[in-house]
Amino acid sequence: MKAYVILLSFLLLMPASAKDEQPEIMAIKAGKILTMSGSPITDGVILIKDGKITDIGTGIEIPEKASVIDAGKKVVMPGLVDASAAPPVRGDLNEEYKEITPTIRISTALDPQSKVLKRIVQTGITTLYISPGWRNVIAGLGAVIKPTGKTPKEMIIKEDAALTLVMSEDSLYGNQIPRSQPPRNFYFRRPTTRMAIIWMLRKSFFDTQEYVKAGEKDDPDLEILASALDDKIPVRLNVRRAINIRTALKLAEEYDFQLILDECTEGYKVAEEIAEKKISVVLGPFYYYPRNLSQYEGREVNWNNAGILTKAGVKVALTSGAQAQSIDLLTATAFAVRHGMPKDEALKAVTITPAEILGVADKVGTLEKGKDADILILSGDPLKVTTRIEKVILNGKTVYKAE
Amino acid sequence: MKKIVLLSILILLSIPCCMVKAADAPENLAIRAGRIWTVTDGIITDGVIIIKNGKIQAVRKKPDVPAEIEVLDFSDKDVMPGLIDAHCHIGLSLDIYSEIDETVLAVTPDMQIIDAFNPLADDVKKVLRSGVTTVLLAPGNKNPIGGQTAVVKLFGKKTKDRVLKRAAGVKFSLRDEALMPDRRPTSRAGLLALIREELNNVKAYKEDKPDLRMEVLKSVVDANFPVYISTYTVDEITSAVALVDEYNLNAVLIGAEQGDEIADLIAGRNIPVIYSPLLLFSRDKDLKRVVNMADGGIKVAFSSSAPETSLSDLRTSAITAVKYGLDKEVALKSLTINAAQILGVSKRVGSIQRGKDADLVILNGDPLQPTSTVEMVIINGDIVYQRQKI
Amino acid sequence: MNPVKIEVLINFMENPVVMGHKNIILISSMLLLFTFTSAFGDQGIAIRAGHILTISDNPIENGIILIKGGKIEALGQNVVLPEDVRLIDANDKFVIPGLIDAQSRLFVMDSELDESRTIAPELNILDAIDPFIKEYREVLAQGVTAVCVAPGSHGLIGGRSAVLKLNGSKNIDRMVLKADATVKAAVGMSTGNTSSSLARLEHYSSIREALIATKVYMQTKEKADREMAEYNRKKAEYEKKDSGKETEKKEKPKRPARFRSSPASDVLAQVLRKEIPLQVEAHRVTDILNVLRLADEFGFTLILDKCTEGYLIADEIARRKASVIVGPVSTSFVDMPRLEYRNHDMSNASILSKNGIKTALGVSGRDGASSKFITLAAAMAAANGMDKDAALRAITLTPAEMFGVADRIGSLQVGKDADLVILNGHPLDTQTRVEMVLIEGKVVFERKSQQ
Repeated sequence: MKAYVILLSFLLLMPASAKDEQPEIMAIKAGKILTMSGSPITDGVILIKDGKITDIGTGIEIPEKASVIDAGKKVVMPGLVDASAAPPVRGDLNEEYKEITPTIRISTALDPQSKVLKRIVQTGITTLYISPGWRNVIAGLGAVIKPTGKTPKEMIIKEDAALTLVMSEDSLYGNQIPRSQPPRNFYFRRPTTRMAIIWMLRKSFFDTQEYVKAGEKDDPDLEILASALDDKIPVRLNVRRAINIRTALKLAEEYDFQLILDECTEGYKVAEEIAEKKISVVLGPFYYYPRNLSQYEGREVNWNNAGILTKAGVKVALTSGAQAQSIDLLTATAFAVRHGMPKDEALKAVTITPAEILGVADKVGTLEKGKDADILILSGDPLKVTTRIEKVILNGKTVYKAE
Repeated sequence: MKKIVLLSILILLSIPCCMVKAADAPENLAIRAGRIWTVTDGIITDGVIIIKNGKIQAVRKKPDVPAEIEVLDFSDKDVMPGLIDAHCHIGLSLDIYSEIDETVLAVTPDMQIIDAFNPLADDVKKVLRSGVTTVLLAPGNKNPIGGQTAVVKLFGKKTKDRVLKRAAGVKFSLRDEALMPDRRPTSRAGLLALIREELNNVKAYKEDKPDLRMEVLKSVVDANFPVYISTYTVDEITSAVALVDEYNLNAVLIGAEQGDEIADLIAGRNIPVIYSPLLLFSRDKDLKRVVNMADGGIKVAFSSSAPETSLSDLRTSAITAVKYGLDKEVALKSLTINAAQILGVSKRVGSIQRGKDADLVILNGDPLQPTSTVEMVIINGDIVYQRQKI
Repeated sequence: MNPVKIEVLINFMENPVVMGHKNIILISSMLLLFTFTSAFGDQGIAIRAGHILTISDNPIENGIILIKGGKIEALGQNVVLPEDVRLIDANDKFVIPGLIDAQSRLFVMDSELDESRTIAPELNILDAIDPFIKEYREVLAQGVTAVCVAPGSHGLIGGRSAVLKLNGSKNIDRMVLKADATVKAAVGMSTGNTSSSLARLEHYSSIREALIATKVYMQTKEKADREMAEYNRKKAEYEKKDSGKETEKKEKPKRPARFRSSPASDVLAQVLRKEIPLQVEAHRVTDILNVLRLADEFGFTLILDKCTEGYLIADEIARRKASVIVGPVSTSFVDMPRLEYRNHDMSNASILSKNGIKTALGVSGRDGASSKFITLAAAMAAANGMDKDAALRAITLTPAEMFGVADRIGSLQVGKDADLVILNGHPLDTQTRVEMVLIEGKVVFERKSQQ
């Protein structure tokens, strides 16, 4: 009899599914919590309220009404911060009518319905930096966003987070010098060589300095450049070859502004120089076989790049390189470790380090009281390729659950 | 000598008076109808509309009509206000492909679409036959800042009878069509930067160096000159709303097909929507969007975008919307008074009320039934179309 | 199911008592599940309805339709109901046969509709069908139970069409009501906004050539068949004589040269033998007249597809006894502008049918899901002069007849498939909602109360 009662209740329970009500307080219990801000916590608890972490540690009392996620022996770490992600934007990333376009803001083109957002969340990324495309020498302003929200405003957590400058050959793409015929459209222009890229940067910096000296205020392009040279807006320079990295360092010294190096494919060749200048590096995507780089820019890829830079003392962030097709960030982190990057540095390189570089370390990057509740629950050691992301929590809400 | 001159002048002056006759409808006209869909005052059954000098003098239930007045007896038919097509491109080209975008330049606010309008064009006649009496003429979607829209009637003996608004507002476009590979802007971020740049330049504009383009943009930013912003996806609509907030624009959204997903943003700012033809879509989810928007408190008017889409069926959008859940009364309003209010011409058109223009459509059944046909169209009291029996 | 409930369940399953009685538990849970599902199996169904529009005969008020084995077994006001029948009460409702869109693109992706501008009668639209497309459900929910799908308008002779049922089967064979229903052709189509007269002349000459070549092929084949039959007869004789007693010296008969069959020509041969109609899309008067002349010359059964300017030459069409599928009824259904629709008139169907021409209506919309607008199309045709009953017939029995499936669908008659729609009002009324759809006696759609 009892069996049938239980059986009946089983059948009746089946259609009922737990709806996602948002209880006031959420608690996560986990075997190992990697806070990224100190030693890992064993058998700890995280309390979350209103999207923020209210308490974290061992021996914490869980309130009665709290909804509890018991992650058993699993590993918990902060949501990943991708310092160079593929933007969830419709259409072209590049405004090509001019090479110098500081006023272009990629955040104005955000598409909250982009299919890229799903993959971003599934791979554990809860904060990301998006940039305009790399076809312009001065491409425009990027922003820090979270993959959540119905409108662009709800997504953005830091507007004008950096100004994108491009020294790699992407900015040469499509340009042609008029030879035998008169120019037909605006693609007939400089730069078509490395010389011209550097000249355009110097000219822009020079114009900016003159503009500031003259006390003028009416040029929107130069206003932004002036803020950048004044270190009010961080400058991210996209470079790949070592000679370009050297030139970048020289320009930064000459015009006296702080620099962040983006991609830095041959950074390993000049690691000490970068470390000496205390410049942070946001590394490009890891790949064994360079796909998108030309013979010049891809000739001397070194898999140990991240390891070498880190050991020389450079602050390094690992990223997906603004490509939607690169391997997921956790796997890339494991590869970096395989090729010489110390483990804890590698994990920091996708959490607190990029958060610091992006200037949002007050909100994300570690699991600490007061920060956003952006949390990953993993089936095991994050650096093992066989580990799965089981759950992704963003601003205290579960946004992804593995099937 | 002077007397002869005076006399000739008098004779010359009197000739026009004799010529204004012929095919005009009489000054006074009464229409008896089985059902009068007034839109603003409900349905009057077995009523009468009295027209004088092209205006509605009276609309009432009592069937008695003053003497010496011509009576049109439509006691078994339905009469509704002339339909208003809130966004189209008719009469702008002689060929089947309209030239409705001046794409060499991306920003052309000084252009006025009324300058390209040919009231005798074939497509104007075809649209008239479907019961549309007033339209908003607009440029296309290929310029981020296009030209100025106009509100015109599809018939009028004099320009002042025909042109209700020479410049009704400026057309903006945030659609993919405004992006071009060889002309600025080439990207979405570039498009928005361009619009912001132009609107920001207004601050620096000095009136002592007159610039027609800047004058128009100045009126947009400072004088509430309406902007008709063409959008489709959620991100285009949120971008439009951001512009409205930043520059305090007096905006109307054209299309806004995915607007139901962020209806609160649109309704919260009282931004009206001129919706696209419903039959552009075939999925139930898309067909219901306009219904969701109306339910969400957004004022909606229908449009045809003719001749880019079809020429004959503004009413079909309303009929299809009703089929997918739109309230019948709201549907009727969306064909008439809503459009009139959005376009700022509701003092003259949009409902059957005393004092408004006598723009009427007579149908042989409920206007929201697809089996009903337009039998007659009257503009300013003149019969401009009458259906021939086969 | 929250984790707590899962734990209870797991504990329950691991209980040794339960394990010992697992068979009983299995059977009883299956029984319980069975009672919750509405599988009625092959029990008969009867529908009692206020207004039954049979299409083929007068409407039946307050009648009953009895369904058994997927067919209409009985129909009328005085039908005796067997005992164990499931009765659907549609007392104040309308019942009509399942609707048919004669110009549908359902189940075919846009990119797969056309090969290039060639003569390719061997191509079969069934090879482009994707049964996993989900849009058919929305179309079914508007009462469409069958669609005629044909290759597009690019191919001069694009291939063979088919009639499919929207029964939700993922197996194409079970969806097909009739394969090789017609051979689709298209003439005079413009590219972009121009149409060259020289290009159009080529259309006709290509088609005439193909048809003449087919005639020759047929004659050659017939001759080859005769020769083969003759050879076989002689061979049999030769072999017989050979085994028997010695008579005159006989020559071994020579085998005739092998006749090479051509699938393309075989299909066109069927057209010339009037076994399959030729469905020709033509819009302008000149094109329609040219097609009529082709029909005069070659004698095939002609279906004029779209026939946009047909109303201008209705008498010519009537004289050839060609049938017509009119569509789109309104240019709202298609992308404009197109040269073909320049003289489009919404009274086309009305004028053609009033001239005694067998007229069906199709949606001819932008994509597969547009088939759901079939009643709107019929209502618009009615608004522009077509008789309401004729309009309804034009989306049921007429297309069934034209595509050769009228023995199975298109009207409510004893012996036909029980494909029918229950509505809460007249089908052409825009406020009417489809309540239920049955295909071969199975309920394939039922409206939820919230919609």
